[in-house]
Amino acid sequence: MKYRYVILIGLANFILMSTIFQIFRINDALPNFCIILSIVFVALVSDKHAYVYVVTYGALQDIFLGKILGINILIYILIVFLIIRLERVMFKGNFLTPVFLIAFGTIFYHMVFYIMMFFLQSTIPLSLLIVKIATEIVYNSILGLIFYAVIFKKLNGYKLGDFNA
Amino acid sequence: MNERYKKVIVVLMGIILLVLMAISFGGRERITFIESQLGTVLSPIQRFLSGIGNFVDEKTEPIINVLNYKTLNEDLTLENESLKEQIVTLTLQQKELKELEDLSQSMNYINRFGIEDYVACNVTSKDIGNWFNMFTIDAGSNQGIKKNSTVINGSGLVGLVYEVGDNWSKVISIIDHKSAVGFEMLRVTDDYDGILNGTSNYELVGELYDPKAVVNVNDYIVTSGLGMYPKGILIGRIYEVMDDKDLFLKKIKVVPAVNFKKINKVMIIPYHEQTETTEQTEPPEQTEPPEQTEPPETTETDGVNE
Repeated sequence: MKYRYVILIGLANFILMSTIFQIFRINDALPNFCIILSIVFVALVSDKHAYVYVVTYGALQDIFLGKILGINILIYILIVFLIIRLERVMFKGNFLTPVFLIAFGTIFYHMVFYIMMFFLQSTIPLSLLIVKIATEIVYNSILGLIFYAVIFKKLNGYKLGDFNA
Repeated sequence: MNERYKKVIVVLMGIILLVLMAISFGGRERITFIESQLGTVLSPIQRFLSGIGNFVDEKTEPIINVLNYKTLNEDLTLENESLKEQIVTLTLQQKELKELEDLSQSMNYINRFGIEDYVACNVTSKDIGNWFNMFTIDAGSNQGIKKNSTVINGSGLVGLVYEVGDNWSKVISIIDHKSAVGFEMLRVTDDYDGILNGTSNYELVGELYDPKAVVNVNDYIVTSGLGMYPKGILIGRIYEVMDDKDLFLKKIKVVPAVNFKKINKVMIIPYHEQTETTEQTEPPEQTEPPEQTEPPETTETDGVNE
């Protein structure tokens, strides 16, 4: 896959999430497609594609809808960096792999965001966001599993979790 | 070696981004040319897609909320009754206000808080993270928007312009954590002052300066004019009053008048820091020796000019 397509996916993803996909909020939480797709890129395409994607998406998020420039890019890069290392020791053909990685990525995102906001004296009590975060973890995991399974089948020619293939 | 090289790149990127974060903290006075142009290109696309989203939302909402209509009707009936009672009182007050306006006109009083030069615009995109409630609008410095301009809609106060591009701006809402708003009670007498903060949970928590203030649930509050926001914009309704015995303060919880989940169009009141300061400095120059010697003549001529 060419990098310009990855940039376009990032751009299209950001535009859709910030506009039309707002209607899919559950418990006021939106799924984080950046985490979902970066994990799909890491596991099924390549590390570099994942980095290009998160930098594009993170930059757009910071420029247009961020309070502080760079915070989302930094967290997404850290997530990809860690996911690459975790994914190496995991079996890609198991459906639990994307669920675990996406849940880990989402929790890590909110944890680092909280710490950074704490140092910038702009933190929000986690108790106010716990429902949103929990919803986002479940939402991301379900959507991530669907995305992962579809792309996995397209790339490998057999279903995710089909151990007889 | 390759792994080490990657780690060095990640660390370097981290340092650069941390510096970037420190620079951009609190909002920048001017954004870069690339950001501004990127926003100009993306804004029409986002506006179009937001329009589709809003249309779908409007059409599906009645179906989703069909079970709530009975309660909603009952609430509206009660509200209607209380509003009818208010009409009588307000009509009398309106008459008094008209008299006062005539009086102020005859005395050449300049209304510094008049909201006449506002800019109406659309919300083009909404926050995709779950921490803040920021959104972008399709008006920027070319339309006269400045940083810290007040954002309102038909229901009341929405927020503040955070960063400005050529044809787009970033807005931070009042329900965001750490966004402070000076308020006063919407009353004829006993208009106590205080300060409100967002909680990121679609409610506001405030403190009253006067510990002996008498406030009630269902009282409305408006901006006091202290800080960035102009005076007299509706903020919301008090739904809980608490006594903080440790700090000897009276705290309130407020439901915003604006439904932040359904913001599609807003109005911007440009920030007038310079005009206010010039207005404050002008009067002493005009009212120097002639007014002291002949006060009746100066007031008469002012009135004629008006």
